[in-house]
Formats: sequence, C-alpha cells, structure tokens
Amino acid sequence: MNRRNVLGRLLGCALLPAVGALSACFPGVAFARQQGAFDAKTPRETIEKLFNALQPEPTKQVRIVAPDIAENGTVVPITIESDLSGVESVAVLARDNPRALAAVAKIGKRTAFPLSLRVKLAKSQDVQVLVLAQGKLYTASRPVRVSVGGCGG
Amino acid sequence: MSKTIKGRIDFVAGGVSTVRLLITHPMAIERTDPKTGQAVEAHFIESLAIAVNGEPELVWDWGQAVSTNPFVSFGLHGLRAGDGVTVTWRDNRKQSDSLQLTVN
Amino acid sequence: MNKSKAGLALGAVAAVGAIASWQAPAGEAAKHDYWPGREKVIPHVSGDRRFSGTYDNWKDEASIRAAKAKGLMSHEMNFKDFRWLEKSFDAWPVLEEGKEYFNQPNAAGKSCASCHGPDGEKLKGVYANLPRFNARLGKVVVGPTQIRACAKDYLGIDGWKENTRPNSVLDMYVAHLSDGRKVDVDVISPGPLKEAYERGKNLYFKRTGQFHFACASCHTPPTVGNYLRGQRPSTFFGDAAHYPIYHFPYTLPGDDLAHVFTLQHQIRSCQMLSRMSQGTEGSRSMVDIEVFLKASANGYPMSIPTQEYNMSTDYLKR
Repeated sequence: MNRRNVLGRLLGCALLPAVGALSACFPGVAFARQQGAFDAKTPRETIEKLFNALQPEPTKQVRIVAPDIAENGTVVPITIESDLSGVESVAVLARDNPRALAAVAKIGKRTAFPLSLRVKLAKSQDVQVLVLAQGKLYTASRPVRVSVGGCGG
Repeated sequence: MSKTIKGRIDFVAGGVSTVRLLITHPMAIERTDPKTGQAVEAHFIESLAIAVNGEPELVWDWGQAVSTNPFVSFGLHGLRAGDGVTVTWRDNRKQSDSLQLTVN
Repeated sequence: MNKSKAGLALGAVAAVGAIASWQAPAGEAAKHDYWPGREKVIPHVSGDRRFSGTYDNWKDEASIRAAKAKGLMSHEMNFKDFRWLEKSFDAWPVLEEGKEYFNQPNAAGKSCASCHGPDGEKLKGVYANLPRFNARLGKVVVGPTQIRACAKDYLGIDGWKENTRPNSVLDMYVAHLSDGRKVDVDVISPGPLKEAYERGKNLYFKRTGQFHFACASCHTPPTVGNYLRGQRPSTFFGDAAHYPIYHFPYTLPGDDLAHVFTLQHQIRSCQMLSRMSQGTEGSRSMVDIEVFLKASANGYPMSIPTQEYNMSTDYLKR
C-alpha cells in the first residue's frame, strides 16, 4: 500500500457525505478486510497483513486500560491511551483468539484518545494494541485473565 | 432518531469532547447449531464510520471479536456548537443504520 | 488381610452412619437449622452497622465520594459506589422497550398509559413503596405480580406473567420512574407486610438445599468481605434498591428477558448457584423474601437503571 496514494484519496474525498462512499474514502478499511487481516490466525500473520514489513516497537506512550480479571469474557472493556502525535491507525489484537484481529481503526485529524471498545476474549490472553504513527509502528500489550463462574453469573 | 444507535456527546468547547455510542446488535460469531450440527453464519457489524460535518473522521473495521451490543467511545478535538456528528454502521448482511448527533 | 478389610467395612458403615445422622436427628425433624444473626436484623439500611460495619462509608452520596477519595475499594463501601454513582448507559434499549409496552394499546385501545398517565407520569415514586399489600387481590404483591394482575384485569392481556419478557421489561420501566426515591416499606405496623417480613427473614437465614446453605451464609460476614468464587458478596442491606437490574450479558439458560433481572429472578439465580430448589416468581415465599430484602433497604434511595457487570474501564483509572 502506497502512503501517498492513500493520503491523496483521503483529501480528494473529504467532501463526500454519502454512506457508501465512506469506505472508499478510507481505503484502509476495505484494505484490512481485503488483505485477509481478519482471517489471519496468528498475531504475526495479522501484523504482516496489516502493516507489511513494519516491525512494531514496544512503547510506554501507548497504554491499554483493561481489567486484570475480566468479569465476563464476552464483554471485556478496553481503553487505549496514546501520547503519540500523527496517529494514522490503531489495531487491536486478542493474541490467543481463534482469529487474532479484533478491530482496526483509521484515525482522522480530529480524533482524540482514549478510544474505548469491548471485545470478546476466548480465554485468558494478552491483548495487544498496534499504533501506526508518522510511518512508524508502535505496540503495547496487556494480559487479561478470563474466568467462568462467580455468583453474579 | 436511530433504532439501534444511542449516542451522547460530552461537549467541551475549545477542547476534547467525548463521544459515547451504544449500538444494539447481536454481534454473533460463526458457530455450530448444537441440535442440527449445521454451521450458523456470523452476524456482526463490519464497519462503523464516524463523520463530522460530512467529513469522514474515524472508521472502525471490526471482526467477530467485538462484543454484542457494542459500546464505543472516543474523543473529538475542536467541536463547535451546531456541528453534526454522523455515526453509521454496516454489517456483514449488508444491513446498516445511521444516527445524526448535533453538538450543543 | 481379612481383618483389615472388615475394619475398612466397619469404618465405612460408621462414616455413612455419621453422615446420615448429621441431618436433623429424629424428633427434631420439624426444627430447621438457621444461620446465626437474625436477632441483629432491623428493617432499615443502617442495620448494616451490626453486620459489615461499612455503613458509614456509603450511607449517602457524600460518604461514598469521601470513601472513594480515601482510596477505599468497592467492597469496603458494600458496592454502593458502582451502582449508585453511575447509571447504566447500556440499559437504554430496555427502557425504550418498556415505554413501548407501557403505551401499547390493546384491542379496545386501552394501555397502561390510559390510567397511569402518559409515559407513567402517575407511577412516579410508586416502586419505592413496593412490595405492598393489595387489598383488591388480598395479598402482598411485588412489582411483577402487580403488572400481571393489572394487565389481566384491566387490559385483558393474559400473557404478561412474572418471568416473561413484557413483564420484566415493564417492571424495569416502572421502577426507573422511582429512581432517586428513598425506599419506604412499612414492616413495623402490624399487618400482612410485617408478617411477610418476619417470614422472609426466617427464610433468608434458613439453611436448605444440597449445600445446606442459607442466603445469609454468603451475605453476612465473614463471607462478606472475602472472596467467594472470584467475587466478594455484599450484605443484604440496600441492594434491593437497585433492582430490577440490567444483567447483560449473562442470562439463566432459556431466558429471554432482555437481560432484566427482577429481584425474584436474582433470588432464583442465587438458589440455582447455591444448589437450592428454585422458588416460583410470585409465590408467597418468594414475595416474603423480597419484602425482607426491600425493607432492609429502607431509607436508601432507589437507583434504576444500573447494571450488574462493570463494562467500562473508568473504575480502573482511579
């Protein structure tokens, strides 16, 4: 994927309000699905399909807020914090899920962190967040334990 | 008014406003019917697009690991009273819904 | 070899005999085992002083905020911080559905709104005084029973029984009209409510079921304050004021109740999890327990809608 093409298309379709055109405005959206990133099973395969040869660099400037022990594995709240500027996209991986990729976001100019989402975790595992900012790939990771039971249900 | 999307904007003039969205959607994963042994197709939101005053701003592309009745929140810089925030989702069965919020 | 085998057999018989006699001894069959503590119970939320001793940390909003500022954890506030300071954003679809049922006209064009005002205007505050004795029906009723009776007798709708979706959703809608009102169930004046309270109290403390537990076994100290199956139980003071509750995503098998747990539905869930026979919603003994629990919340404001599970990360960023 050529970054210059992407930027050109973004600027070119800034005025298109139609729903159908939105996914064309964000080629990265259709891109993730077309490239099979959502079908990739392992985290490494997923990162390759999303970000090609870019190597993720662990950083404290990206943080994941999530419970240490999730009350219910089907609804695990996650909040992504970031101090980086020029963020282009964010990917959320559940590293030991049958398909590692949970969600990808294309970040616009006015979008501000933190971002919150709720994910399904098949079992206790690390949740990994990848942030593409100014051409560099950063990552942070956090273990979440999932248990069944408890008296609340 | 939207049938499936509820949204609230905590507006901060000159700063970062927080947008919270709650969408009613089964977000069902692909599974096997225990009685018949047949595969039941997944039914989940594939993309959630947020636009400010008609300009695309944030687009989430989702897989099957996003929870049922998805809750999403994020910040927006520099909103002004009267700005319109449009939220649109589209699922893998080509259904979609949209909500228009006005900043006030 | 034979001697040790005989010894084993004797030992087994003795053990079985010991287990058999651990149940109620002959002649005492009519008495029940009770968990201790009934004598300390008062029908007001401040009774918690003699149980968990955390009452002053959560007796009103100012106390909760002060306790949070001090860094106390939720169980040290008897979990009142989570369900009273935050209303559930997720329960919105249920309230919308409830409003639809409320305004939905029957074949003759009548709806709940015909008598109770548009969107339930005239029902504001009513839920804080439930359960109550209904003279027309001749028994103590809880919200779901009242809804069932009203629907049948005034609207001709037979299907809104307890433990059905319309009933549970309407129960939540009507309860949210009393959000913020202090619970006031009079169980001190002599009458059917007081009798129900006394029976309910005994039921709450009575051991039963496969585990021989009482409700109080888990919901009084020392179990309260400690971990049980990965969670910490709360005492029974005050919690009834946040029922019915939005219980997404967990449901009992076979339920389609829009994830609404009425108080009796919660009791059924507890009974199942602690291996007791599940009561029937609307039956007299279940109503008795609900009267006991609601009266143990007297003086505390209702908080509807709240959710059972904490599905946001806000509480992690203290």
